[in-house]
Amino acid sequence: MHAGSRTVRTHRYKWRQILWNFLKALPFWLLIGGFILIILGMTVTVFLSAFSTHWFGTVLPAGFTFSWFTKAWSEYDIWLYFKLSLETTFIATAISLVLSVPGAYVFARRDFPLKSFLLGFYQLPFMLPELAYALPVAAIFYKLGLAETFTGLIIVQLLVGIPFSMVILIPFIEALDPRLEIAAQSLGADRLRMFSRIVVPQLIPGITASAINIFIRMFGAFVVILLISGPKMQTLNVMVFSVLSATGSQPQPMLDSLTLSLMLPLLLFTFLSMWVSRRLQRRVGK
Amino acid sequence: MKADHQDTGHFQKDTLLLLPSLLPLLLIFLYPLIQGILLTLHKNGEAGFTFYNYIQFFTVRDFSNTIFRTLVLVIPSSILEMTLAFAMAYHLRKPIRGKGLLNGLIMFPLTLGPLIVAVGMIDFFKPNGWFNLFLMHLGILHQPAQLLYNFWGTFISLTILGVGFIFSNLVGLMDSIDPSFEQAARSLGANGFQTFIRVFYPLIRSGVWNIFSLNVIMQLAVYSSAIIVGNPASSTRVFSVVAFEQAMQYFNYNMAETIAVIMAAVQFICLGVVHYIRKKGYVGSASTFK
Amino acid sequence: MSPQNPAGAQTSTSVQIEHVTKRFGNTTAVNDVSLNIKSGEFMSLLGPSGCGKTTLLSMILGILDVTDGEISFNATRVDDIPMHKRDVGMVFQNYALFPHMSIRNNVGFGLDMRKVPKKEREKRVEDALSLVQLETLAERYPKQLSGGQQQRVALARALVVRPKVLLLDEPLSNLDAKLRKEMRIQLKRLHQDLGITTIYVTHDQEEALSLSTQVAVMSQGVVQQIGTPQEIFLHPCNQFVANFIGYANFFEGRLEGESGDNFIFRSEDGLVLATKKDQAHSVGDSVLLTIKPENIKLVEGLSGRNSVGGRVVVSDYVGNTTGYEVLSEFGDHLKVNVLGFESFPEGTELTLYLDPAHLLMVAKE
Ligand SMILES: Nc1ncnc2c1ncn2[C@@H]1O[C@H](COP(=O)(O)OP(=O)(O)OP(=O)(O)O)[C@@H](O)[C@H]1O
Ligand SMILES: [Mg+2]
Repeated sequence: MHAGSRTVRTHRYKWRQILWNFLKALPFWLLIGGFILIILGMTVTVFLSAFSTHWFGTVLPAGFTFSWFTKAWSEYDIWLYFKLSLETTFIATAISLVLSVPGAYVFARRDFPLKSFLLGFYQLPFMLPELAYALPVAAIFYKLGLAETFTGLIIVQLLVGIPFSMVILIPFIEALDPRLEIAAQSLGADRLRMFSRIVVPQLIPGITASAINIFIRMFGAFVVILLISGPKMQTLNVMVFSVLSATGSQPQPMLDSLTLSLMLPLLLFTFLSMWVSRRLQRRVGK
Repeated sequence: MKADHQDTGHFQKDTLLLLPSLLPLLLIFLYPLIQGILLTLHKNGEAGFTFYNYIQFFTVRDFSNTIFRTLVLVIPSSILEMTLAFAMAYHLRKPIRGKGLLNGLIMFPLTLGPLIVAVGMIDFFKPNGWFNLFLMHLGILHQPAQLLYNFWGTFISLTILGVGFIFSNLVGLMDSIDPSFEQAARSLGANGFQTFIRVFYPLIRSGVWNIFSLNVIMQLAVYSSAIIVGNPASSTRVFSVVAFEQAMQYFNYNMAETIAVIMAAVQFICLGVVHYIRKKGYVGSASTFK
Repeated sequence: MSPQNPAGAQTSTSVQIEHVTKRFGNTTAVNDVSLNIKSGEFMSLLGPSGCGKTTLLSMILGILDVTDGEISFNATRVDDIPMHKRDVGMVFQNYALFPHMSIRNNVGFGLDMRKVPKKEREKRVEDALSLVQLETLAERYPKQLSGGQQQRVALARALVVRPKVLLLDEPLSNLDAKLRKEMRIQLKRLHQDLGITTIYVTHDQEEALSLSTQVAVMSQGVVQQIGTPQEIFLHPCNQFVANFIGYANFFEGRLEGESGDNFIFRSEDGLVLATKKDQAHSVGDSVLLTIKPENIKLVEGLSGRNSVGGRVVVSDYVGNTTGYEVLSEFGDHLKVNVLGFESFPEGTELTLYLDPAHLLMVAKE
C-alpha cells in the first residue's frame, strides 16, 4: 500500500519532469535546427545549382549537367588561379611558421621588458581594420613594383600569417614541459641543440595543426590581395569575387560552379584539420 | 626558470629570436600604417599638410553617412548574433549524442567565409529559392520575401557568419567552466535560473564581452557581403564599400585611407562602450584553482 | 527544524540506500549497493580509485539519477526530488568555491537561495565562519586563501544551510600530510559537536578508520563489507578488504587438524601454522590465512612453532620502521615491518615468528 502510493507519485513526477524538460528544450532545438537547416540549405543549393541545366521556381532543378562546371574551369582558367592560390598560401604558411617559432618560444618561456606591449603589437593587426594598413601597403607596393607579382602576393600573406602563427604557437609552447629543456641543458646540450632536438620535435604535432589553420585562414584572405592583385596575379577568391561583384553578367549556375571550386578545397582542408586534431588528441590521450 | 635567465648575456641572445618575426611585421605592417596616417593628411596628389580629407568626410553626405549605415547594420546584428549563439552554445553544453557534428555545422559558415556564404544566400533566399518556397508552402508568407540585394541581405549574411564566430568562441569559454561550481550552487538550493544568474553568467561574463568586441571589430569591416548580397549604392554603402571605391576607382588613396582611419576610430569608440559596460563584474579565471 | 547545536543542523536524518545501481552505457559504476546510515552517523566510503564512490555520492546529492534502486531520507524517498530541494550539503573535492564572490557571500549563498532574512543571514554566516575559525577572513576572495582555509570555507558553506545530510568527497586529498591530519581532527570535532549525518568518501584507510562510526569498503561498484572501524580492521571479511586495510601476506591452504585453542593449517607449499580457532571454520576447510607485515616478528635462534626461516631480499629503511621482503624457506615472499632502528642488509638469514593471535582466516575473493 505504502510502496504503491510511492510509485504513483514517482511516475507522475517523472511524466511532469519529462514534459517540462521537453518544453524547456524545444525553443533551443528549434533555433539550432533552423540555423543548421539554413546552412545546409545554402550549401546544398550551391551544389545543385552548379550542376543544373535549368532551375527556376521548382524544388529541384529540371536536369543535371557538368557543362557549367567544365565551362567555368576553361573560361576562367580556374586551374591557374587555383594553383596560384595554393602556391602562395603554401609558401607563405611555411615562411610564417619558420619566422614565428623562435619568437613564440621566447614569448612562452622568457620574461623581458615590454613583453606585454610586444605581445599586443603582434595582435594589433587583428584589432585594427584591415583596410587601415592594407591601403598604404598597396600604395607602397605599387610604387616599388611589387604589386601584381608572385612575390608581392606572398609578402602580403605574411601580414596575416605571422601574427596568426604567433597567437596559435605561444600557448602550444607554454603547454610543453619546461623541465625537459632544463634536463637537456643539464645533460650538456647547447641552446641551439636544445631547441632543435627538444623543443621543435615536441612542437611538430602543434605546428601541423596550426599550419592547417593558418593555411585555411590565408586561403580566405581577401582585402589586401584584392588591393594589390592584377588581372592575372590574383588568388581564387579574389577572382571569384570580381566575377560575382559584376552581377548579372553571368548565369547563376556558372557563378555557383565558380563558388564550388572555391568551396571544395576549403572543405578538404577543414576535414584534414579535424582529422589531424582528432589524431593529436588521441595521442595526447584525451 | 625565470630566475636563472636574469643574466644579461642570455637575455640579449634570447630576445634576438624575436627579430625574424618582428622585423617583417615592422616593415609590412607598422611602417605602412604610419605612412597611411600621413597619407590622410595630404590631399590626393598634393604635397601640403592639410585636414582636407577629414573635412571632406564629415561634410560630404555620401561619406559621413557611412558611419550611420555601418552601425545600423553591425550593432543590431551583433546583438542578435550573441543572443542566438549564446542560446545555442548554452544548450549544447550538456552531453548530447552527435554534439560534435552539431557544433561543426554551426561553425561551418566560418570556414566557408563571406564570399561563399553570400553565393549560398543568393541560391537559398532568392524569391523562388527553397527558403521562400518553404515558407509559402507553410502559408507563413503569401508572396516571396525580398531578402537579397538590400539591407536584409547583408544583415542575414553578417548574422550567419557572426553566429558561427561567436558560437565557436563561446563553446571554448563555456567548456572552461568547471561544472562543480554549478553543482555546488544547485546543492545549496539554487534553481536552474538562479544558478545561471548568480554563478554561471558572472564567471563567463568578461569572456562573453571580449567575444562580442572581437565580433564587432570583424563586422565593422564588412565588405564582400555588402557588395554581393547588399545594395552597395544605398542601404549597405558601408565604410569599406566607399573606401574601396575611392582606392580602386578614383585611385584616391588619401581619401580611402581617411575613411579607414575613421573606421578604426569608430571601432575604438564601440570597444570603449563595450568595455565600459562590462567593467562592473568579476574578471578573471573561472576554472577551479588549488 | 529547531536549531539544536551551533550551526543549527538537524540531527535526525537517517539515509537509506536500497539496491542502488548506476550504469554509464556499458560500465556499471555502482552495482546494487544497499547502505543503511543511521542518523548522526559518520559513514566512510572506502575504496580504490574508480570503484564508484563519487558516483554514489553524486546520486545522493542529485547530480546523477539512479539507474535502479531507491534513496530515502528518514524513509521518505528523495531520489526523485530535484537537487536544489534535497537539503544535502556537499564539500567538493576541489571545493568549488565561487571565485567571483567573497568568502562571506560564498557562505551566504545557500541562505540567499532560501530567502533567509538579512539579519539572520548575517548571524548565521558569522556563526558558520567562527565554527571553522575563519571569522577574520570573511571579506577575502577564495583565491586569497590557502588550501586548508578553502577547505574550511567549503565546509562552512555546506553547513550553514543546516543540511539534512553532509557529503564530503575526499575533502582532504588536496592538502599536505600535516594539514591533512589537522583538518581530520577538526572534522572529527565538528561531527561530534553537530552530530550531523555524514557520508565521507576517501581512499585513505587511516582517515576512514579514525573518523568514522561506520565504514563501507567498496570495490568495483560493490560494497564488500560494512562495519565499525574495529570490525573492519580486526575482521575483514574477504581477501579484498583484508588487502585494502593492510594485510599483505596471504597463505592458501587447508585446516588439517586442531590442537587445543588452535587449528593447524598447512599451506600448499607445506608451511604449517597454528591459528586461533573460530566458529566459522572447522577442520578440513580450505582457507586463506593472512597477517599484517607489522605483526610478523623477528626472532633469534632456531625455529619453533609458527616460525619460518627466510632470507632478506629487499630492505627498505624508513625512519623508525624498516620494511623487508623476505623469501621464506617455502618459497613465499613475505612482507615484514619491524619497528626500531636496527636494520638487516639484504641477504641476511632470519627467523620469522607468526603469532597465532594475529593470523586471520578470510574468504577468498
Ligand atoms: N560520466 C561518466 N560516464 C561514464 N563513466 C563514468 C562517468 N563517471 C564515472 N564513470 C566511471 O564510473 C566508475 C566509478 O567512477 P567514480 O568517479 O565514482 O570513482 P571514484 O570511486 O570516485 O574514484 P576516485 O577515488 O578516483 O575519485 C569509473 O570506472 C568511471 O570511469
Ligand atoms: Mg571520486
